[in-house]
Amino acid sequence: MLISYNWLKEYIDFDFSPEELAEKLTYLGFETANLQKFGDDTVIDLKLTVNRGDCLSMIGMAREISTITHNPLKMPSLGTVDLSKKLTSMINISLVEPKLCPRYTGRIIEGVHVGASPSWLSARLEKAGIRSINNVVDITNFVLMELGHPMHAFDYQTLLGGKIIICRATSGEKLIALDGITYELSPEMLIIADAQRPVALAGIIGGEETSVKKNTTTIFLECAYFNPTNVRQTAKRLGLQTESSYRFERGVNPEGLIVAQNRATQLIMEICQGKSVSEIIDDYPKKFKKTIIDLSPAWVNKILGTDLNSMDIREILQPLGFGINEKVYHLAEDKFLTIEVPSFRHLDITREIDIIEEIARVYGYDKIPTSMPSGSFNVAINREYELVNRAKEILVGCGFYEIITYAFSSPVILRQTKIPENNTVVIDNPLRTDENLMCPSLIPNILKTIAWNINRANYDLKIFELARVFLADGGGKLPREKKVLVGAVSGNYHQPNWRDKAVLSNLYDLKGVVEKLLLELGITDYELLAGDHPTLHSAKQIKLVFQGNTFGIMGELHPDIAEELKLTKGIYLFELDWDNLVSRVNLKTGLKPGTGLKPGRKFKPLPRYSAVQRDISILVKEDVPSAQIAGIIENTGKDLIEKVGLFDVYQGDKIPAGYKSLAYSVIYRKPEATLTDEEVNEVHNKITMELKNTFGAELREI
Amino acid sequence: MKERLISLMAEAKNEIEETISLEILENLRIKYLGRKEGIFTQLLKQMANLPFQERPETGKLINEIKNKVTQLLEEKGTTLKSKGKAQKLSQEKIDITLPGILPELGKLHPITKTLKEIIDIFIRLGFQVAEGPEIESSYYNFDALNIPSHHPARDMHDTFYVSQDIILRTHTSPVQIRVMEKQLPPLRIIVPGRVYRRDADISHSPMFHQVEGLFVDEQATFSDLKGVLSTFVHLIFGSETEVRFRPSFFPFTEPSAEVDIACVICAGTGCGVCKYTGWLEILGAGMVDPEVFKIVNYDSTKYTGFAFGLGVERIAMLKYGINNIRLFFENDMRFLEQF
Repeated sequence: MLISYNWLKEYIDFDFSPEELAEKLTYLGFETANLQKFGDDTVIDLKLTVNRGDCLSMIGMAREISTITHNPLKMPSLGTVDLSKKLTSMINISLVEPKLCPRYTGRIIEGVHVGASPSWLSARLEKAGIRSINNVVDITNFVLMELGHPMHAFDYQTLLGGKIIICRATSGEKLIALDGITYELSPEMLIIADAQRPVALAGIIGGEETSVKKNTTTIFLECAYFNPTNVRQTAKRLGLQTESSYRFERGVNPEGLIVAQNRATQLIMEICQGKSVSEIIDDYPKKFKKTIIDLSPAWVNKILGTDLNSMDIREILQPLGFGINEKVYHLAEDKFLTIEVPSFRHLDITREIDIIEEIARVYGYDKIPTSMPSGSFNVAINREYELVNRAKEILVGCGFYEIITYAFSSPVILRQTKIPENNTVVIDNPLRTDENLMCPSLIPNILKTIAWNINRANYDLKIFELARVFLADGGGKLPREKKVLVGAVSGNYHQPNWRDKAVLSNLYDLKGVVEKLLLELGITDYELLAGDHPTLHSAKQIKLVFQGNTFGIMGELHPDIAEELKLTKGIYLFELDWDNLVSRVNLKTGLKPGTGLKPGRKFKPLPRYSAVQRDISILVKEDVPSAQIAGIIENTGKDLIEKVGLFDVYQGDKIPAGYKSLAYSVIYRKPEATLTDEEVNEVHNKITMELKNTFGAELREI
Repeated sequence: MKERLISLMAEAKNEIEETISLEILENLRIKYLGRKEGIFTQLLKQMANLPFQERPETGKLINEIKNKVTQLLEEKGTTLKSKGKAQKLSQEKIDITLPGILPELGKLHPITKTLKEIIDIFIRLGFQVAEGPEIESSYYNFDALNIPSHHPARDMHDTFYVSQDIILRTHTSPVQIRVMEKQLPPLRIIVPGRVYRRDADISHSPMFHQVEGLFVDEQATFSDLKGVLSTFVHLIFGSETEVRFRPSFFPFTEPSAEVDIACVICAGTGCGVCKYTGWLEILGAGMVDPEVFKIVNYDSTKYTGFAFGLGVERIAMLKYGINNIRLFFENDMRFLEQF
């Protein structure tokens, strides 16, 4: 709301500069967005919170200032309205919807001269951001700014049948409004109608046909109290917010209508030379009931941590228009006070806590003492949070950068990356129409990040994200949310430097990272099998399986997808079901956060007897899985084997086509004694025999 | 004989001193101390030719000189050896200005770093981490937080809808309700998470991160709220940072406060970042509204509490001097490498 500093001074005495005023208002809960000089005046742009409809006027703000200065409010003087002249015009008001319009007042003024406003009037409205229309309309807007009451003036002659009906619109009815737009109405909307048609949208905007124009001589002046919710619903439906609807939504003072009528009438008589005036017709079927609240000063202090007494509270509340029950007040003991809420605060002050807020606000948040809370609390370790941190630290330690992507997705990218679309959560009102899905997988997101970077010549990437994906198959009320850990590498895996050459990323780098991550998290119980994920290269992918369920995938991005997304070759991805991993780590007892200890991992005494190392080199057909060979070595050697390591894989000129040569180093050790050569030879020979028998393998001397 | 021995001593001393290599020194050793042909061996043999009474004295003198020469040889040997080593090492000189081979370490996203910093402060104050769904029912997001439909307070949230009553949560506050439904006070929880609002410009992102805090106990006061949040601000922005609390409005807290810090850019003198106010808004907070306690069946005559919420991007932008919120979600490597 725009407030003119000079205009405000007409309603209260204070001697703060505009800047000081802005600061004082900030501490009262009214943030100032901007101060703008206007000649010798300053316009303050106030950001009002939605609960303070009562402050959307000069008087409202003046009242707030009076809590600082303790000076009285200077209400506008109304003079006297001469009701003696005989009036020929008549109007018949019919209030059909008292729930949506608890009070409706109207008055007829005859012999009005419509014209331009005097310059003082239009200048004031201009500073408030309101355009000058004509003297009558400007006066209603002036009263709106001064007292906070929206008003509307109709051209009486255009109201058919001399009737005003406050009722719901009928379906399909239309109104051409003052903004020139034709609105189609529905029965949820409250309207003002004459004998035949809608003439205004109640509390929002008047109709063009019945508006006050140059040739208007008799006006019907409306000042009402409309239901805040209904005004808001209608305004929302029509996408129309006016100074009037803004105030009705936030609640105006139902007891202030007569003052507003008289103030506007007085100004119309003065400025528009009105000749005669009717009495106010006041349709007010159910009188507004004052709110009375019991307030315990002890409770005030318990909530705020202050030490205020009844006297302090009384001093704070009185300038705001609260009535404080004297009888209870004079009891010296701080038992409770009875507070009468002024009608202009009937919407936001309904409970004791609302009064406590007023006390805190006016007393000053800066004056409330600062303390640290006491009391007991839960000291349990946040294990899942620690586990997430641990996983991220492992990946960072492996050289990966964390990314955070928008959770939105699009049908196009899902199609491009072959992620099923049938299970996605759709956003009804997306910010961009092509991004109307919640991501069902993080793979499209990470690929987009790769594309973004490649387009900016950042080719060498090791990135990961841990975030939620959203699936529409939850079965419950809400969609299913699942945490997923996704990672990708592209370009160089090791950067070149003056000593070492660059190493291009490959699947084994990625596989190593995934294996290391799982190992460090204490997850070793899984199988790696050939995968079948459509996003990945059909022959270069692996799935991670636990008890028959796939909980992760990794592999090379399918070349067709890479091409379609204009990405470089050699992008490798993994995606792990984080919730599944977490469920397998014992959060209560197992994992020691930050240490990466396996659940139940126990110290093994250091070996006392030395180990013996023997190497095995074996030539097998190229389609023999290396894991099978290692498996045979381990199974045959049993307890004597400490470790089997693959240290060379060779295919090339020196061996027959279609074959590969694998070299393993086998470490033998007995925990309880030194191994003799004979023992090692025996088991080593057994292993070589077994390998020969299984693969027809040729063993090569090393 | 005596004279000869003295001149021999002088000669040997001279020769040893002038020796420049271990090889020559070894030749000298053989020359003097050689078991068969060495000068001293010869001298001792010649003893037999001396008159009997001269033998003990001469023998003693020979041995003394022999010992001296031995000592000189050893000393020279040590000197030459260490000289040689030093020389050898100096020949192995390398260019120490060649760049080191840096291990390849990744980095956490600046939002995660900031989040962690925030959460860890509250963990130290006894708060527990809680989470809730990102796609939320409008009941938890609005109604249970005392934000009725058709209330202007809903305008404070530009909401993404999945259906009429399922939305992308606009704040992390619904987790307050979900936790209070399941747990009784005393309660200290901290809720990090992603939230969504239909808004995009250089300081607004349709998805961003919030941290929500909730404290409920029998004795919680507005003073405690001030204490906890001042402590937080001082830990995250430095103990010198000035903090102010000013009245505001949130439907689920009352009294409500906005927490400002003296502008970290201009230290309160006024600049573009603080829009020349000298203050930066960083937290929303307040005492839990009794209406909210009523919804979760807490006895609001027994328990009081406070809640607060803050935007992680905003804090990260201030801490790192980032001027466009979109940078967080582009994930450009040149950006990520900086934190």
